[in-house]
Order: sequence, then structure tokens, then C-alpha cells
Amino acid sequence: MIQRWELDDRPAFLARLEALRAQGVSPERIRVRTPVPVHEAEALLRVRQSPLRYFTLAGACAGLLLGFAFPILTVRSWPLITGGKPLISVPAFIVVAFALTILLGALASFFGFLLLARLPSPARIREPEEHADAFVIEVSPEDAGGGTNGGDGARPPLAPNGGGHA
Amino acid sequence: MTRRPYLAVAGAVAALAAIGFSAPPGALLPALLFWVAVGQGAVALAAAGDLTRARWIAPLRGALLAVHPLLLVFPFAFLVFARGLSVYAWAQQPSGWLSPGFFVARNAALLLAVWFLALLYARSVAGDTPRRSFLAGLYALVFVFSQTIIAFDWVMSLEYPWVSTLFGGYFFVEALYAGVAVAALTAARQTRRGRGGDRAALLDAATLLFGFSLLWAGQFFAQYLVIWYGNLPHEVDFLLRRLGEAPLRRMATLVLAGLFFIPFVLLLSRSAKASPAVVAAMALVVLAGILAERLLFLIPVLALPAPAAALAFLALGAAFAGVWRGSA
Repeated sequence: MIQRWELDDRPAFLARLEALRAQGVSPERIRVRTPVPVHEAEALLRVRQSPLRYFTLAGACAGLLLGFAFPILTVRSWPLITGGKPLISVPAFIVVAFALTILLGALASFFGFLLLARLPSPARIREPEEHADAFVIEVSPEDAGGGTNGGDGARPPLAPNGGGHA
Repeated sequence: MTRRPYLAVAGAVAALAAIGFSAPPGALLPALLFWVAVGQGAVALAAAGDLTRARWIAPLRGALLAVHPLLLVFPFAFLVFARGLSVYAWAQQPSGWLSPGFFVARNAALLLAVWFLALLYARSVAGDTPRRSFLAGLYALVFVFSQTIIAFDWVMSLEYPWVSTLFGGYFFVEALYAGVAVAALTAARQTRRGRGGDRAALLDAATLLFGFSLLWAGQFFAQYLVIWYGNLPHEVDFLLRRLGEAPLRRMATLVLAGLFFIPFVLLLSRSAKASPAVVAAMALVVLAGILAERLLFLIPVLALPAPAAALAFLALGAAFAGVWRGSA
């Protein structure tokens, strides 16, 4: 039988979670849903860091490179001296590189998120019930492993990032 | 309230008076420029936290506000510095805004007003009075005004007629950046001492330090790009004197590294932000960067008497340590 707590505030939620861990309940059996990110819970539940940041990094690096390559290659292909500046004027190109870094970083993050969140199929991430602003802790029975997630026993505990309301 | 902070203040005023009266003019300027930013910025960060109802700042607020007695040193130190206004070329041909009497009066009055508001604000926080938010807002307003006038009067007027309208904003953002560095140092110290629950404050202070490195770079670049692109002789001179050749060019590179590249790259990692040693080191790098930048502003236009300037810096540093360590 699944044990369940619905707590109103973050300190009570963290205190309960710490108590459960102190009792020796393994993180695999605990599942939480929170209305806001609670980083302390991630540490307590030993949640794996999302690989989303690598999408952002790759996108941002690609944007930075493209942002410098695009003006440098075009100015070399069509040399036109403007305002007496050197053809390859890094200060002016920083603006383009910065904008493209942000743009491609953001786009890569967005599509990476869609991919990691198993979209475009919302059914796979939809929560069956609504928890509003409650902090919810569920502990599955010892023999059931981590299988409280609609039969998807292989899935790790849900990251406490408000995913319940995604 | 103990007397210790005010003893530190009295000691600093006496030391600065001794240095100021015996050294050539301008000896106090670098130390004043740096510590005014640190002192006013630390209180301003606490006020900004109050205005935005920030909860993360609660464990650090006491240490930030404890710096407020230091602000009383600045009006006196400024008056000592103002004896030697001959360092400003405009003092030979005073005009309306840039005339010695008005210059001294407005700066001394503003520095005194900032200290007085910081005192009222710190007391209202201690007593949790209803005027707290109002005083936080008022302090923030006068802080911005004071830092702007410091930028325009103390630094920019050294190179009159060179002007940059962003210089004031640049200074008060940098002062807030210094305040964040003090908050990060405080959080690192508290975490080392093992006070529970402060690790979150360390993470938040480190994140803010990281964010301010970006904000600073944005402001720096906004000024640099316009001057570089316009390429007007009376504007470019300011940059050429500092970036034209070594050793100042190398110093400018260090400033850019200390205020942007090093904190930005190292604080990207979450584990670095959770490490008190890394966060404290980054805060010190940022403070060193601000000091180096203030020196970079002054060195090309002011014959700085190095030993006296260093002594003034240490005197104010000791006063800061006296008020800050007393509470953190």
C-alpha cells in the first residue's frame, strides 16, 4: 500500500522527506511532486541531473561559432571597408555572436526539453490528478520497487520541479 | 549595539586624516573610490533584498547592514581629500557645476545623507518597524544618486571634457556588484562555520555573483562599443590611454578577466556555486577586479603616491574588517 503525505509548505515537506530518508527508506521508493523547484529534495532523493544542460551548451557553442563565422566569412567574400574599421572588427561581431549564442542556446534548450519530456505526446507526462500548491510525498511498498508511476517501474523518481503540473 | 564598529570608524578617520594631511593630493582617492562602492553597495544589496521581499538574503542581512558605520568614514575622508582639489584640471578654471565649493558641498552632503539613511534603515530592520520598506527605497534612491555623482565628479571630471552618460549607471551597478561579493563572502564564511540552512544562501549569493558578472560585462560593452564605433578623437582618448599599450593594457585585460571571464566561467558549475572556498575566491577576484579598475581610471591622469594610497586602502580595509567581522 502506498503511503502518502500532502504538505502545505516547503519546510514541513523537507522535514518529512529527511525523516523518511533517516528511517532508511530508499530514494527509489519515494516519489514527490512540488509546485516549485526544491533543490534540497533533489539532493535527498539523489535525482540524476537532467541532460538538458548539454543541449543548451551545444546550442550556445554552435551559436557563438556561427555568430563569428557568419560575419567573418561574408566580409571576406565581399570586402567593404566601413567607417575606416578593419574588415574583421571583432567588437562589432560580438553583438551578432552574442545574439546567436542566446538564440541557438534557447532553441536547443526548447527542443531538447521537448525530446526529454517525451513530447509531442502529452499523454506520457500527464499527471492523473491535480495537486495545486501541495507538496506531495508518496512512498511505495518495499517489494514494489519504484513502480508508482503508472506501471512504468523503470522510471526514476519524478524530479521535484513542478513536473506534476506540466 | 557595541562600540566596536564606531571605534573602527574613529580609527580609520584618524588614520586617513594623518595620511591625507601628510601625503600629496589625491592619495586618498583610490581607497575612497573602492571602499565607498563596497560599503554603500553592501547596504544597498540589503535594501534591494527588502524591496523585492527576497527571502534568500535573510541569513546575510545582518552582516550586510553591519557595514553601515563604515559609511560615516567617507564624508570625513572626502573632506580630507578635498583639500587637494588641484588634481582636477577644472579647479584652475572653475565653472558653475565644477567649482570647488559646490563640488565639496554636494559630495560631502550626499555621503553624509547615505550614511544617515543607512543608519535609519539598519535601525528599522533591527526593530522591524513599518517604515522599513520606505527607508529601504529611500536608501536605494540616494545610493544611486550618490554613486552617480561619485562617478561624474570624482572620476569623470578628472578627464573633463570627456563624458559618458552611462558612467553613473556603470558605477552604481558596480557598487551593487561589490555588495554581492560581500554577501558571497559572508555566506561562504557562515557555511564554513557550519550554520545549518545557510548553504541555500551560499548558492543564491553565488548565482547572483554570476548574474552580475554578465550585467557588468553588458554595461562595459555598451560603453566600449559606442566609443569604439564612433571613433571620435575626444571620446577615444579615454580608451586609448588605457588600452593603447602595456602595462595598462595588461591591467585592463586583468580587469575584464576578474570582473567577467573568471567568475562567469567558474561559477557556471553548480558544484562550484555550492563550494564556500570557490565562492569566497570568486568574491575576492571580483573585489580585486573592481580595485584594479578604479586604479585603471586614475593612473593615466593622476600621479598617485603609491605608499600613501596603499596605506589609505589598508586603513579603510581594517575599518571594514572591524565592522564586518564583528557581526558575520
